[in-house]
Amino acid sequence: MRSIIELKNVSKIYQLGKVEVKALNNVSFSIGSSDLISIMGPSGSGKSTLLDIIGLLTKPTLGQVFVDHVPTTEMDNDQMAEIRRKKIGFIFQTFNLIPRLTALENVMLPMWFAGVPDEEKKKRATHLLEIVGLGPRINHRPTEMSGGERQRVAIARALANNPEVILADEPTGNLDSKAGEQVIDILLKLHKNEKRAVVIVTHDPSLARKAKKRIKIKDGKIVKRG
Amino acid sequence: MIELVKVAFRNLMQQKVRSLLTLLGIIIGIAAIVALVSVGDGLQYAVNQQFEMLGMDKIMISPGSPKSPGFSGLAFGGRALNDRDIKIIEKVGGIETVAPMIVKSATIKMGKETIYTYVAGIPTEKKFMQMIEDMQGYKIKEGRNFMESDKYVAVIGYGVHNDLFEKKVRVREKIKINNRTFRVIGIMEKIGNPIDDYTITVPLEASKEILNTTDYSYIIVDVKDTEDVSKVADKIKQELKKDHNAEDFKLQTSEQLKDTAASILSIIQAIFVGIAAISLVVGGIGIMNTMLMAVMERTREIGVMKAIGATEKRIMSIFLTESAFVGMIGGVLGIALGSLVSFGVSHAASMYTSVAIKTIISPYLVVGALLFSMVVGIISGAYPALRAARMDPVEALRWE
Repeated sequence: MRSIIELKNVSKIYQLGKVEVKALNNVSFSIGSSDLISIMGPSGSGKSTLLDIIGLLTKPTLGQVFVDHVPTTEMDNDQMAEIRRKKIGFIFQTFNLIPRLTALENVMLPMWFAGVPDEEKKKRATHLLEIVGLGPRINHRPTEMSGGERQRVAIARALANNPEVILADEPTGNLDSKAGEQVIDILLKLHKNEKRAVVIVTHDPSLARKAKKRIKIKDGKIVKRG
Repeated sequence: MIELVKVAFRNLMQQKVRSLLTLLGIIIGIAAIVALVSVGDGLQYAVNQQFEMLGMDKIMISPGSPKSPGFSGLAFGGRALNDRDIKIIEKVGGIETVAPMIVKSATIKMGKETIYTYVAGIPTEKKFMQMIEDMQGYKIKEGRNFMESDKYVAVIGYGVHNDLFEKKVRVREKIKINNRTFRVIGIMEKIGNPIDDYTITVPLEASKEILNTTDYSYIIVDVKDTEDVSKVADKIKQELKKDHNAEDFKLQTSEQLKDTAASILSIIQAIFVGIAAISLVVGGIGIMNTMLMAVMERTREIGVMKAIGATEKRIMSIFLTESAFVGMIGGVLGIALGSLVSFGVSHAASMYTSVAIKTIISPYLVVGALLFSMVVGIISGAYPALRAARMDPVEALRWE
């Protein structure tokens, strides 16, 4: 299996006043091209920081992150943005759709950033919304949608630029169980049918168990791999 | 690009009242500038026209220090100009005619009414008449112009005819100037400036008598060849200085007069436009304030956009487009409002005063104002946009 994102001895240290907080402590970890990984851990354990670093939203204080075996240490903000745009799809607990834009426009947004031509953008966004079962609702705004529908729009948005890795940060955290199941279903299908790497941060042990690779994190350290 | 504008428009519509208020700041600033520039341009044009009519081959000499501002035959101080000066000037070569003029205020009586206004004495020989007619740009509306043999007759300005006295003053009626009876022989067409329109013109000799003076208010020299004007002017200055033992007179060619008037107008215009520009600066601060608020409110959105791959440049352009858009729309509406105001001003001016200002809204002004308002929008939006672009995506995403 080809490794897409690899963390080597990564630590992230925050300075809170005079106190140093080690959010991550010497973590090594890799995401392969068709991995399904779950990350669990209590709040404050460093899960979010781990996801930030995997998602290239921030750089580690110590250690290195490789994307396709290329070190990212020397990259500038725009180069990191380019990798996020091309290789990573984000799904957030709170959906984070742009409220003024319709479902279709929200899905088109990453393609706009990637400079995809207008026609193609529309076609692909419509197609993606159909895949997540929102074909008839493409012109609705987030405020006119249920939580489950919003999260499905977010999934379609994450897929817009055909990324290799999907990072989902507690994707069902704000959903009722039925909507949550639907979302998980879609994510698992993406992994199974399209061989995309999917990383899910979750509190839900039953969801975590569905992953082949399971990681538990506590106090900034990986305490269990399975 | 179209996408950016669409997004910007949608973002602005989200906060309609706030956007409108921000817009208002720019509209007022641009409207003030457009109105002042167009009225100023109109004045400038009117003044230039006046001088074109006057011709570029004239030299005007008046008493007073050369350093005194403007040009006025009524200036105080300095030695008076008289026939001796005329003789000196006539000896200078290259001159067509030398015409003295007297302008002084006098009491005018008609029936029981007594009124003060300006009386001008001009030479009535044919060669002078032609020149003065050209210069003042006046035409007889009713009655006739002076003839060489005329003495106690008067040509009255339109204002004198129309509204100086309770009853209109008509041709062949009699008026008393400093207790001497004059017959009105002609009425001039409306010229447009109050001094000319309220002046009573009489033959030079008569004016000397009733105004009790032999001193001239102006001497106007008509130079034969336009190209020689400055040479002749220098020579006249030299000769008069030699005779007076001092430079106690003011000498200006029509070219200089035109330049002086133009530069005075330009300065006045610049001051007003400068004041208007201050309001535009305030408008710009308004944009900056609004954009800073927008950036703060949309912190999370900025985080999301960064997460899904927007570069700093892209984030910056989104916010800059928004502020430039406010600037541009403010510019368009400001130009419209400013034009309206300036038409209003020229309309009011021609209705309530005798000053006719044709306001000029040149394409340069429109394009300039539009560019300027956009630049103000972009400059005001630059700092907020930079702040948005530089946000840390992790912090922005967690913003509550």
